[in-house]
Amino acid sequence: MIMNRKTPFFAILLVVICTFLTSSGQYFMKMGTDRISGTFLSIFNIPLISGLLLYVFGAVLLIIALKHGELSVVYPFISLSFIWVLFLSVFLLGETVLLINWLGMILIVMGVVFIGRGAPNE
Amino acid sequence: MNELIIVLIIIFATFVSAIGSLFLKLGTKTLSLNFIKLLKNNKLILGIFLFGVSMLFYIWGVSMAKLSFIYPITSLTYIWISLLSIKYLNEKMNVYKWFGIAIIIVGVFLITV
Repeated sequence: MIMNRKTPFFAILLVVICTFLTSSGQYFMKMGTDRISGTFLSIFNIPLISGLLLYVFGAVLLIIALKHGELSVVYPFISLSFIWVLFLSVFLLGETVLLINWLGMILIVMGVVFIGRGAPNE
Repeated sequence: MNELIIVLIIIFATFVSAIGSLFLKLGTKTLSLNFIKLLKNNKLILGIFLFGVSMLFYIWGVSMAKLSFIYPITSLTYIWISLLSIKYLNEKMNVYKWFGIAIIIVGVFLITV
């Protein structure tokens, strides 16, 4: 029954995982760029390389998701990246987050739920 | 630099990014695990290239203005994608999808305030 939809659930699952991987990847890459010193070899540090790999793997998942789902359904789920970045800022970077930011997070989640609900069947 | 010009740069970046995503989607029709075939997948390559170009413009814009100013503008991409999908991918929009995009855009604005 699930496969009757133009955008199967597993395509949505893939893009959600993709956003998590690309957001974490970006975090590690940023960490890695902070470690770049004067030497050329300092570019090849663990956070930067693993961040890049995470990012690329996330992108691959997105491409697979696009193969099986509609662009107009899959793409809005990328906005979930903002939420991962929000959690990252709060729990790993200790940044101050306002209530209005959490409200924004709730709205984004509601938004993707509506998009998923609106995804048409075959 | 003039704020309006920065806004225009970002809007341009969002449009290029949307076109790139469109080509990416078109390219997945003939997606295969064969590496040679992947390299010959023109639409996929073009999509990735356009996405890269949009990133360059985006980074340029971000270097000149605050992220909290830039982020909300990037949510324009969702509108471009919806319109492009209708025109070129034969996808259908409906009230749920439009409303979802509307509150995502508001949410992006609030989350980056």
